[in-house]
Amino acid sequence: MHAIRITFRYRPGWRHFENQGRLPLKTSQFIWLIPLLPLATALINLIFRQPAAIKRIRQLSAAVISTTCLISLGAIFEMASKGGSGRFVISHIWTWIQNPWLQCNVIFHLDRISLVMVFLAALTALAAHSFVPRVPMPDQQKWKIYSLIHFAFGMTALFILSGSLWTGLFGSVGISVAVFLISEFNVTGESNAGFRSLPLPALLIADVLLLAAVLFLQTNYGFINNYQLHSFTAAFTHGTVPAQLTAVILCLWAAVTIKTAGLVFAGWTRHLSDCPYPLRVMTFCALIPVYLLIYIRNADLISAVHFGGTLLRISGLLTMALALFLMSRLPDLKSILQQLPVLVCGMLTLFFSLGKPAEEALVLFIAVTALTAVWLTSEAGERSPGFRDSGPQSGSSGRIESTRHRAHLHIRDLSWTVGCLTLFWMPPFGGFPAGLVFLHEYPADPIHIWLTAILGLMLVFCFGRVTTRLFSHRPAGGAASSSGWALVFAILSITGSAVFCSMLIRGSDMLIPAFPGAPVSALLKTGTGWKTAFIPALGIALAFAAGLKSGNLLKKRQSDRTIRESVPEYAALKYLWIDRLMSWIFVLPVKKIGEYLWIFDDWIVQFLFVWISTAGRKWSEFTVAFDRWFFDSILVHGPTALAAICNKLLRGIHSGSKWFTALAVVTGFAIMLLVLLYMAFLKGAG
Amino acid sequence: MDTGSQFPFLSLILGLPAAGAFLIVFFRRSTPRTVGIFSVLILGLTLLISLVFPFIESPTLNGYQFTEKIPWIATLGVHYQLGLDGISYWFLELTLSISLICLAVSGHESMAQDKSFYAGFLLLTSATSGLLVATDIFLFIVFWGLSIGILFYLLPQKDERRVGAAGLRFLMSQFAGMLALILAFVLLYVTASRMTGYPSFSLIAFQNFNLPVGTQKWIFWLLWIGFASRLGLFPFHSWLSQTINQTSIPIAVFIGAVSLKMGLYGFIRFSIPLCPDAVITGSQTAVYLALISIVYGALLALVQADMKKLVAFSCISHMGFVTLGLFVLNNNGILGGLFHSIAHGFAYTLLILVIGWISRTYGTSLIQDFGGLNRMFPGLGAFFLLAGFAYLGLPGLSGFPGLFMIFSGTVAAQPVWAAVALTGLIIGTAYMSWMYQRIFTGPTSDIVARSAVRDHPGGKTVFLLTAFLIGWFGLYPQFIVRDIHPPAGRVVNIIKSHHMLRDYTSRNKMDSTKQKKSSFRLPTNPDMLQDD
Repeated sequence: MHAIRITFRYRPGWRHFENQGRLPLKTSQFIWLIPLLPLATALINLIFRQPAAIKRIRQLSAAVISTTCLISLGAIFEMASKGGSGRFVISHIWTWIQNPWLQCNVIFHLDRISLVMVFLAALTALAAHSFVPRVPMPDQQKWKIYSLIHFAFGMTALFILSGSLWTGLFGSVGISVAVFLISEFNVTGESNAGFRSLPLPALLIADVLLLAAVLFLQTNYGFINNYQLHSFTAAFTHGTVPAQLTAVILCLWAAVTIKTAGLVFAGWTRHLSDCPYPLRVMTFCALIPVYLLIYIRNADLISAVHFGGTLLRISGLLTMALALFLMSRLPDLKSILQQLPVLVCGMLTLFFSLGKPAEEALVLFIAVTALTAVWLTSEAGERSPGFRDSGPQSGSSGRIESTRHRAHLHIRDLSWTVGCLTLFWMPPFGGFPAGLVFLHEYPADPIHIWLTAILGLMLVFCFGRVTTRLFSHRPAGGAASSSGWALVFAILSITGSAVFCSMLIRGSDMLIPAFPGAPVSALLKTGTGWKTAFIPALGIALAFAAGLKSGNLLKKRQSDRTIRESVPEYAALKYLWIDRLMSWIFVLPVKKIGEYLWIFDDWIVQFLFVWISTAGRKWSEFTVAFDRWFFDSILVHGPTALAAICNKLLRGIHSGSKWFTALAVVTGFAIMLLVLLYMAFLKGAG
Repeated sequence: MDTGSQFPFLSLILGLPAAGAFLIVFFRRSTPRTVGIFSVLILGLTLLISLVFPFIESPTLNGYQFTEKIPWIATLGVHYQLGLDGISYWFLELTLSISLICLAVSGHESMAQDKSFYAGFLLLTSATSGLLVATDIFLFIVFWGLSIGILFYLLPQKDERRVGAAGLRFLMSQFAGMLALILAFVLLYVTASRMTGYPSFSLIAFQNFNLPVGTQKWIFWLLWIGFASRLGLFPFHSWLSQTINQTSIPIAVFIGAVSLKMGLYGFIRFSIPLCPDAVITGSQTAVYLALISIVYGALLALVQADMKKLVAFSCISHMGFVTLGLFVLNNNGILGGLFHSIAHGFAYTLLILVIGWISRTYGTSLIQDFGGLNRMFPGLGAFFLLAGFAYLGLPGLSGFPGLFMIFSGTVAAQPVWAAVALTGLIIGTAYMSWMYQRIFTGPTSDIVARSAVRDHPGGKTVFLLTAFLIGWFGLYPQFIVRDIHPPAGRVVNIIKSHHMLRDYTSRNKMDSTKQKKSSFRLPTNPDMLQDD
């Protein structure tokens, strides 16, 4: 055996570049610090979690996250300065397993997407970090929040930067653990312990599916990093997919769907609504959307013309529809906002099914969406009553009705409005150019137009639901919003965007992203005359009204309830039919099988052992009885009787009785005769 | 006396705990605590000596190292023969370190108030180490029997007057298994003696024999019964859950972390190298039984109401994983099986130590009695979570590399097997996280709220050390892999060479059959007849 040898260094020779040969990169040489520093900080926080040290923990956290931000920003500039589609692979960070048959190293793969995503994750972590002091809980316990932010960020960075399949798997499982720990940490200290929509099983099952895909690819195609995967999947872009790869595609799709809370897997996200809002920001703005990277890396394989594209299309549409449905049903602003990343993930999934988007467009879109989500989630967190009233009960509620008491802060209302408008791609805010660049890649054929139209209507509804919730109601006994002009501003923006998009669409062959305008553009391209103006306007109005109405209905239904509703009741609201469906399909059957097997196992074992022990007891009783009989009759009574007979005989002889004397003489002669006969027999035999 | 090295290190490793056990007889006036400290020191010293081995000789490069050979029963060809290679080295380290942990935490156990417990435990360590380094089959079976006997003696808690049903179940299962082993070894001995003309029990000598395939099959399946009984595989699992549930925590730790693994060691040391042809034909059945163990154990674990029983059933599932790795008969599978059996020991130890502390403190191990424990003992929850995650095979922790390699090997052999085994892992995720949720989170249960215990559990150093090892093996599996891959490779080479031989023989047979057929046809071929 050799002495311990740890390889954990960065040598210039380890990196290679796809397009430009060896480049003297500088900042990116320290890229491995991005996942390492936060993870190390989380560990340090865990070890030195002295209540008095909270200030130092805060300073250390700020320093670490700022450093990672700077490193990732530096790397982005460096990459941008090279031009082209430069990318490089750090082929060796850590030797994990190395033997003649298996080689697994930690590898980093840096390109524009990964660098931008890691920068956004760092920014999100920085934002979350800056919100921590405002969380209404004792300072002594805040080290947990800092640690969780660092842990989550470290694992997210590892996942984003992963250059090989197994490195990605490592990060993915780390993210699952982070989400689980976050879900278990809430202000009240109570946990939503339940099995049906528990985050950890759901997320780890997704990881097992990823593991299956990794194992298959690694076993059948050797050591695979992202780079090889790129060229490998390109071979399957057109034409039929082998049966085994179909399984890989399904595994990847199912894993991403679970991790991004798509389709019926949205249940686990609702367990995060009670955690402190910086952690919620981290989860919903970084940990969930990051899984789209799997689609990005495997776009050639997944979004091609084979069944993968159809699967994604249906999956994306249904995810969006379901997210919108949940948004219309959930009473809690936090829960509604939690559906936003799901909605965005569904949207991106849908677009991936239509074709691989350009890298720049993807970068811009992801950046705008992530930052807006951070913005809105933090706003919602600040508006929750727990922020002001530090009581545990109020901290866990965060209901919409109770959000108006901060309405005097006009700037916050405006900020909220702008955030919503940005998220839903309304001009003139950041979402619009992002969407424009994103959709520019797709030709304006009828399918794309109709899909965009459907998306537009969905999002208008969503916009009506989310944005106007802040302004349209007066809670009983609560202060109303005085920022009516913010609502006016929102409505003007929507109207303006509709007009703007209608003008744009007439001379253009491309899709128009602003969603209020999308239905207009769709119908303008498919119809003519006055209907082209009236029908889309009607559609928009109906969708918007539905959103408002949805809010009204919910408000009306909740008006009788007080703000001090108990937590269990609130928790009960979280279990929707989707959770029950999941339970019926997956959980209950498995548990039932387990129970029957246990009964069977117990019965078999008990039967065998009872039978064996009964048989053993019976055998034991028999042998004891036999022993007793044998011992008593042969060994005890026999010799005793013989001795008694001899005794009687001798006594008789000694007493001088003739009969006994005669008997003794006959016996003596008989014995002598027997002895002589025996001796004769022996002699004869000899 | 023939010793490969200058100093009989292996005898020292076996002798030191045994001598310690003997010396405890003279501790008449000492308290159990003093005896406990003495035992820990003895085992610590033994562990330290074993840690020096890699610096003296490499057990991985040239087969067995530190060999010792002394004639014992010359007429039967029995020798006191010891040797160490990479596989036995790591199993030895596992045995010694887990034994040390068991003794270090046994101070609170009721049965540890009896000094004979420490003597028994030292003897148990010695016997278990002995069967790992024995290269004579007779010696192996002696140590095997000794370890079972001593475990049976240590099983009952002190307050129990007699050995309970669990103990009897343990004894019956293990002795039935040992009987199968003895039969297999006698068959092996007789066959080999007839072939060579001289009696021998040497494992090294047996490895060079090419036994008839029919005999190999008998030996393989008898060995399989013996080792599977020890490993707790389906259908020989019934003793495991009751034994772990009813015995004291140190013994439960030893059984799950060390004793079970002796079955796996038997597979890799005896079954596969001695009966390669039978393994090739019978591996599929062994894999199916392993798969049943994986899913069956996991499903039963899912519905257990008792923590200890849940962990015991999860052991059955995990032993299924390691057996699956071995019998897919490729490098990654075997390497993964070996690695996971070592790594599982540490994760299981931490898990059962936490559960043991909980059950001892609150007097129950029923899951339904607990809730919200995390609020009072967050550290305990963290250790439990870490062990549970390692158990589930989370990357970065000790469970992952082994499972990764097992699955890698299984996918290469037959992807469907991997898919079935993955379901076991998925159910494992469910039962482990569910157990954590019910015990540590949620509202505080009555039993926890009423309890006056507010202090954190003792033995933090042991917890931390085990947690460190779990992390270390997860992040740097190469530490173990580089030592065990050469001997594992040798085992695979044996299988491969026999596979090739079988192919060659069957091809020759086919050729000869074809020739026979063609020669039979020759006279009937009119063209050839004409040529003739």
